[in-house]
Order: sequence, then structure tokens, then C-alpha cells
Amino acid sequence: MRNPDPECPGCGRPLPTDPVELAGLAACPHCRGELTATVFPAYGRGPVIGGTAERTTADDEATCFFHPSKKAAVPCDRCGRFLCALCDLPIAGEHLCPGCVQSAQKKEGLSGVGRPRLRWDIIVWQLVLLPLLACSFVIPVTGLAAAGLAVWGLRAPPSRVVHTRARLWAGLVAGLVVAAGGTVFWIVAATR
Amino acid sequence: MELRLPKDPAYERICSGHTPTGSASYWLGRDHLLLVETSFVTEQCRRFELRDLELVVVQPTSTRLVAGSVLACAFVVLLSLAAIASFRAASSNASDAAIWAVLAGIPTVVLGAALAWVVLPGRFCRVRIRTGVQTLAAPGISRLPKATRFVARLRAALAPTVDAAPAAPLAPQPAAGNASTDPAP
Repeated sequence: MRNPDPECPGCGRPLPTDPVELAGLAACPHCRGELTATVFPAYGRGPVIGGTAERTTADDEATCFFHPSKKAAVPCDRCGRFLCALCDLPIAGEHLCPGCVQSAQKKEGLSGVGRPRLRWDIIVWQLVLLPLLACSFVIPVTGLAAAGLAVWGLRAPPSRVVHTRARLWAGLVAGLVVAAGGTVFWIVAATR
Repeated sequence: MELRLPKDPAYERICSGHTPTGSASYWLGRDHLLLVETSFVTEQCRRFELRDLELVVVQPTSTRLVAGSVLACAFVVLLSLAAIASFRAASSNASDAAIWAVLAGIPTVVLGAALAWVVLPGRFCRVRIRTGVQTLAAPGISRLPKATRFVARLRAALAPTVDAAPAAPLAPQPAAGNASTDPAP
């Protein structure tokens, strides 16, 4: 699957494909919109396609666990199975087999493989703050829910960028304070 | 335990910004660029091998001119109203005029802040990052000075990497796609 020719971000029409011409562009030739293109050495080389596995030629050669007719290229760093070039998945500096990658994805135990992570701290703080802004009567409930979700979120994989745990602990405290304050407010309001 | 990127010495943050649904930050690793994008309540990583980066296109837009002009007109009108109301309040001690001065003053301050936000950080722009298999509209890079710094940092990081890499063919990869959802090296 080759990426089509570069396009102008403004009008969407194709830009010159020649790297020298592209790097020298000051404006889109079609819409005349100002534009700068920085061409890197990989330009025009196309996508890197996966490797091909070699066939075994001798009986005493190690073969791939998944493809018995293919020559083993490397062992899996997790399970030790021999892998051909086709089955070898180099991830985060390790050579892994498809099975180990799959199980690591499920456990989130492989630092190089990740799915989108839920930012529990954002959910908790929205639950704490939004009802406050709206002066909602559900504040005790949302405060408790925020505290509960903060405890739940402490067990989830943290954000890669922000200090999720500190935010969650702060959210837990804020949720409990808000829930207690909301409850007292409603008790006082109901008894008067 | 997984290190957060700001604490990880292998990564350097080269750019960050806000998107309509959250934020995005760009982290430069030894041989790859990591894009961490937060959208609503999810955080997703995309990884680009530096040797696969082909092209970065930056196109300035006229958003600053248009939005700045509209905001500046509204700002001038509101500022005039607030000034007139203040002048009348000061000269006649009328409480109505003072209230009007405050009522016009608050949106004037808000508009002034918005105007400063539109005008001061530089022109708006669109940025496209192209690899062998995809073209990505770079999230979070919406101002020209920021985009310029981003491209300059990429160029500085990419030159030695590309020189050191074999010309072709490159090391075999498991998949044809070169942007994955991998967060770490």
C-alpha cells in the first residue's frame, strides 16, 4: 500500500513529486497558498515491506516453530521458540513471536505494545467539577462516584505523559470532600 | 514499572499543543518520534520511525487574520462602550452608568484575552507528516512558530539517523504500516 503523491493541505490537489522541486516550493502551484515542504531522505523510497523467510535446505537446520519448512532466524525472547524472518516481530528491542505479542497485549505487560488507555484522572475530575459548576443536586452521588472511580483508576495503567496517580489521589480526596459537603448541605437544607 | 515520558531520559518533548478534543505531544526518541494524543478521556500513542519520515508540509492559513480582525472590531466597539459608560459614570455619578461600564468592561477583557490568544502566538498553520504509507494531519501543531521549531528539531535529529541507516533494503519489519500504536522503544 503506497502512500499517494503529496497533496497541498489547503486545496488537496497534488504537489510536485520531484524532491528538489518539492523542497523549493514557496506556494501551492494550484491554490497559490503559501507552503513549505521539508523533504527527508526517505522520500520516495516507499513503505518498508515485511521480510521473507528462507526455506530450509538441510535436515539438521533449525526450523521455525510456526512454519516447519522455513529456516529459523531468531528465537523468541519470551518463550524461546525458533522463529523465521516472517514470524519475528521486533518490538521494543525484543524479538517476539505472534503468540507472545498477543498475550502481552492482553496483559498490557509489554511496554512496546499498547492500546488506547483510559484517562481515569480526567473522568474523576470531570465528575468532581462539572456538577459543582452546574450547582447540581446530585453532587453527593457524583462525588462518591468520583472517589470510587479514582480507586478503580489507581489499578489501571497510568498515563504516559502526566502523573496520573497523583491526580487520582487528589481526585479521591476531592470527591470525598465534595460528597460530604453536598450531603451536609442537603441535610441542612432539608431540616430547615 | 513503566517510566512516564517526561522522566524517561530516552525521550525529549519537542512539541505539544491542544486539539479540539484534548491535547497532543511529540516525543523524540533515539530512532523514532512518538505522538501521544489525548482525545476526550483516552490516550493513544503513535510511533513513527525517523527513517520512515518522508516529508513534512507546513502551510500557513489566514485564520489569524480573519479571526483577529473580527475580534479586534468587536473589542474596539466594546472598549468604546465601556469608555463612554465609565466617562458618564465619572462625570454624573450615575449608578446606571457604572453598571453599564462594568457590563461592557467584562466582555471587553474577555475579548481582549481572546484577541491576544489569536494574535500573539503567531500565524495559524496546517501541518502534514508523510511517511511511506500514510499522511497524518499533525494534531496539536497549529501555529507557525511552533511548526517551524518542530521541523527544525526533526531535521536535526533525523540527519545522523538517516546517514547511519542502510540505504535499501531496510531491516525487515513485521507489518507494512510504519506508524503503529506502540508507545515505547
